Amino acid sequence: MLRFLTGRLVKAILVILAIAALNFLLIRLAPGDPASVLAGEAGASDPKFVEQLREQFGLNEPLWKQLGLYLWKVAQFDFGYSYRNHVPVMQLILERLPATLLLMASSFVVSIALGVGFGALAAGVSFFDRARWLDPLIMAVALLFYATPLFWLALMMVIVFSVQLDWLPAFGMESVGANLKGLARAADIGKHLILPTLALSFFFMSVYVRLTRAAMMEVMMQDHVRTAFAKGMKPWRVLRRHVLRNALLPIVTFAGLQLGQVAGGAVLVETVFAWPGIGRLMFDALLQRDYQLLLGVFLVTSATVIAFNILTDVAYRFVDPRIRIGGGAK
Amino acid sequence: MTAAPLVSIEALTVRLPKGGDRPHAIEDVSLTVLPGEIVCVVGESGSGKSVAASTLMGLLPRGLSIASGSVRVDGQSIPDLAPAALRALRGREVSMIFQEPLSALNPLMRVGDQILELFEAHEAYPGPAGRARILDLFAYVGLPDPARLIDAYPFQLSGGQRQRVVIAMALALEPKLILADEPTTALDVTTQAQVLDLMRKIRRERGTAILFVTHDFGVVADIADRVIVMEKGRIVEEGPVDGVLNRPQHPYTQKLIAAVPRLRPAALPPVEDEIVLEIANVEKTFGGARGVKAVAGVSLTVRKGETLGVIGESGSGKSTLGRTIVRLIEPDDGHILYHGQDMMALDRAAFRQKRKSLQMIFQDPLSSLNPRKRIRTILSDGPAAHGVARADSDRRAAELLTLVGLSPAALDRFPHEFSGGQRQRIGIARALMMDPEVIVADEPVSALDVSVQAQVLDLLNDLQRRMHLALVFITHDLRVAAQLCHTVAVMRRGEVVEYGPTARVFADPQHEYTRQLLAAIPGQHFDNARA
Amino acid sequence: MTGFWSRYRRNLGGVIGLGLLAAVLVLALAAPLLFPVSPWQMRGAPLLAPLEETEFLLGTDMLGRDIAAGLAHGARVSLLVGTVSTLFAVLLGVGIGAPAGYFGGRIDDGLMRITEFFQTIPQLAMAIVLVAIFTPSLASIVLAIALVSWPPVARLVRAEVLSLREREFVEAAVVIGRPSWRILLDDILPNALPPVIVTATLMVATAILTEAALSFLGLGDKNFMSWGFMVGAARTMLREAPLLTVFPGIAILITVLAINLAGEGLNDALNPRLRERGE
Repeated sequence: MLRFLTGRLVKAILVILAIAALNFLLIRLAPGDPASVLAGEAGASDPKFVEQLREQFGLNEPLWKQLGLYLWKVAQFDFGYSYRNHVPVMQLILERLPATLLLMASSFVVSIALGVGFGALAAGVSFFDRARWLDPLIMAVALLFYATPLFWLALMMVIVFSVQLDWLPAFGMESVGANLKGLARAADIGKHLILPTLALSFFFMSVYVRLTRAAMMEVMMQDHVRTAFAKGMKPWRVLRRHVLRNALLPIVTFAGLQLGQVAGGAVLVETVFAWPGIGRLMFDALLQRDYQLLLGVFLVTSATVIAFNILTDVAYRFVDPRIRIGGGAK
Repeated sequence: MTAAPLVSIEALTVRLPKGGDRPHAIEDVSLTVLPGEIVCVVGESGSGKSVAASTLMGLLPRGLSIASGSVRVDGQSIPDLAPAALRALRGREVSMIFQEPLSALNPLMRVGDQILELFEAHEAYPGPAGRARILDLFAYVGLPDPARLIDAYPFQLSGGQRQRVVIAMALALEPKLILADEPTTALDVTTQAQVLDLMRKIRRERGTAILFVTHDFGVVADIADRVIVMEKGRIVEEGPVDGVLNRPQHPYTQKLIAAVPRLRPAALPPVEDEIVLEIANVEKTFGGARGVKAVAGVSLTVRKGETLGVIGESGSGKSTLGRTIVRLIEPDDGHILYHGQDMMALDRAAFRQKRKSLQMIFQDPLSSLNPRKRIRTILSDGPAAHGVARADSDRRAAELLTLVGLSPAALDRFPHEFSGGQRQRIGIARALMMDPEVIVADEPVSALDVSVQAQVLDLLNDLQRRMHLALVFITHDLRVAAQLCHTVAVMRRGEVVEYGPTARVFADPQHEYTRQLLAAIPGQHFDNARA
Repeated sequence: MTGFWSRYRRNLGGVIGLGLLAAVLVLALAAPLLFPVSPWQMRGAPLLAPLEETEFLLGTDMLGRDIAAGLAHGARVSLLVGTVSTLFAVLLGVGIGAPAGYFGGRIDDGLMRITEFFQTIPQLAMAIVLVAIFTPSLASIVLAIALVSWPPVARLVRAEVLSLREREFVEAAVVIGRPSWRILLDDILPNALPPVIVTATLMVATAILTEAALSFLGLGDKNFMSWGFMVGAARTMLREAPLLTVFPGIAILITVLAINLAGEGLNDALNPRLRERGE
């Protein structure tokens, strides 16, 4: 396991550096002078700042030296300076990262729990041959959520739950000016967390519903399920031990692949709900045409996704004994 | 006075879901099994033999339902049992062994745990008694090192070991009846012999009745007390094994038995023509330096008009060898001399020209023809690649189709419109389109039903004699080899352990492995009794 | 061909989806006829309710722009961007996945590393960066979406080609002496394509959602009205005029839903399930 982990970590670092190199490439390919691209809209109006950037990024040096310089900065966690906000990019990111992690983690949990739950229910009614109408109903609702644009769903939730019903707050992470501490603060954050989490979860929940149902239906047709019945086991037991457990494999694999999309969805949700995370930061960077900030957020978002991917890979190895033990007799 | 039957099926008819090739899976089927009796149900694919067996546990596949008739085990009517009673019966009074043990066992659970589940479901052998019972069972079925195997996962065991685990599971609660659905079909012939021994031991020592579904008459001859023959859902003949095998009454039974190749080698005229193909010290290793040596220094010769049989079990390297001859797989070392010229010395582009003379017939009728191409295209692809005009190859294609027993109208059809046997014939025609001198046939009839096998083998034999082909015939079936081949080479783990004229090898095997193989073939006393 | 349609018809969802899609397509094609004036024109009084004036069927937004015209012209953008970007993504995916699967070895390793790299990067984030850096335009949006969507296609094509390469009819093609490129084009790809076609259909839906998200964030082409832009513009009026958000969102929803339904119908028609056999 240790060897596997170190291998994956090394690979992850290489990928992150490659993404940094990609950023470098994009800056050079962008229309206009790389220095003004780096300076952003606000910074470009300040010629002293632009000159400073030319120095810092070695824009007068040969190309390969520039790349080396850029990668060295990244390795030291120096993602540049945001002229508009007057702070280093890294600082802005560190301030906002926890909020995004909170949002992503809670929606990850909600979408898997509800998604797998409903998907198992949809497959289960076929298994037990009862209330079979639940299957097409669940799948139809899942399809509906799958086809709904994430940002629009978020806005509709704001309209319904905040504007019309006034049940839940729709903006920010904490009530403005409340200055709460401890448990009260946590509760306040929790209340603000509900709508953004749900908005981010609905789409991915529908993906898990469809995936779980498909995986379970496929496992149900396999021979070992028939063997389980031939042993005289009760249907519930068979479902739990032989169907659900075996269906988990493709679900875990998929969970890993989904993370990239969750990160993208976070940008949209944070924008709509003014959630103070790095997704919102990305939107701000777009508005302000602050490209150093934009690329910095992009890099950190990618790194976060890669980190989560390693975790799911580890989880997968635990779930599948064929990989854990490896190889076998003829 | 006869004992009361353990199993009594009367006038049973089972419906197929709509859209099948017939309305009923089985029709008006009646059979009995006495306690301690071994009854074999024989039939080809689509005969309904497995359906009949699965009704005994109430395990009909989805979509099938009982239309009429009764199914009784030990006096109880199975379809009328309450769910709890049915569950109590399964695994305890009646247990089942399936064909493919790798898929019958849950790949993510240890094998010991899967048997413990059985105990749990029937509240038997609680606690440490469960583990002790499993260890006993493993020893009884002949599994090595039970204490280690009990915690193993299915993928860590060999095919034979997995099947023994499944048998142990079936035995665990001392059932009165075991349903065995083609339990040895997926096993090597030597492993099959051991498993059949085990089943006879179980019946002898525990008095368990066995309902054994199979398509292999050799197995029937070795293990059955009584035989039931099924065709297209109906029973066409039944009786004590001696009578049915030696004096079959029904034409279908007669056809099936006649289709089983005799074990005594046919008296083939000796071949004296020139050597056409010489394989010298061919080697192939998969998986790098510490990998598996699939072919380890094999040397053979084939003459014009000769059929060389390459015999081996799975993992012997026979298929790999066949593929190296046509350079589908590039050998690591050695020479392949065609008319004295080393094919290995040619680069791939130059060899492409020579490919015409070295053709291949494949095993799987389902995947050996491109499903999206018409037969005309499939047959003319080869000649087209070598510059032959379409009109000429079309003419030849029509000729060859007739030669292999199909109508030239087949040219405009697609592969899915043909049966397995017909597709193999098309595969033979495809090889012949190239006008080859050497044909490598890789298990060409193994995926076909027994009656169809005989027809295709006859065709191959006929064609080979007519066209004076050199045929390399790869197979695991010694009976087929006995009838078809002038010479045989027995392979084991990549090496040729015995090589010589068929008659001599079968009558007087020199190598220990060859003797084991020959001894393991089921139904030998039946062969000897045949005229 | 007739067999295909009779199989397709059996899936009710597929038929409905196809119908809805046809309606959207007709709307998109007829847009310049039905709404000859540019939807960016502030023609009417601001914030008119639907049918308040017969000229503006669905009302106007806060700047007096015709909502119905916006929806019709937006359909053109969505369908255009969706199909063209998917086409590029599929071409790229096949171009990378097929050789990787067929030739194996180091070619496969290299191509797969590139594919993995692109697949690890979060899709929407990368699309945002690409469009932002290269300034928003239909072309940059189409290219950006294509560049983030091709990896799954490449993986799928590679997997199909790998499994087909082992099939006996492909081995037979080698033995009878057909050249490699002919085998890849003639024997392998036609059999590998059906799942790719289904995937491509579903990808159009995803591409439309991505384009809408980009426009929502302000990265749309300012020369063309887009549904995503309409939703974004309506954000300031959530309380006062919720319908401004509802209409374009429903347009997106219906289109994406229709494509998904049609795609599932296509899948069922191309891969008929095997019937149970009596055995």
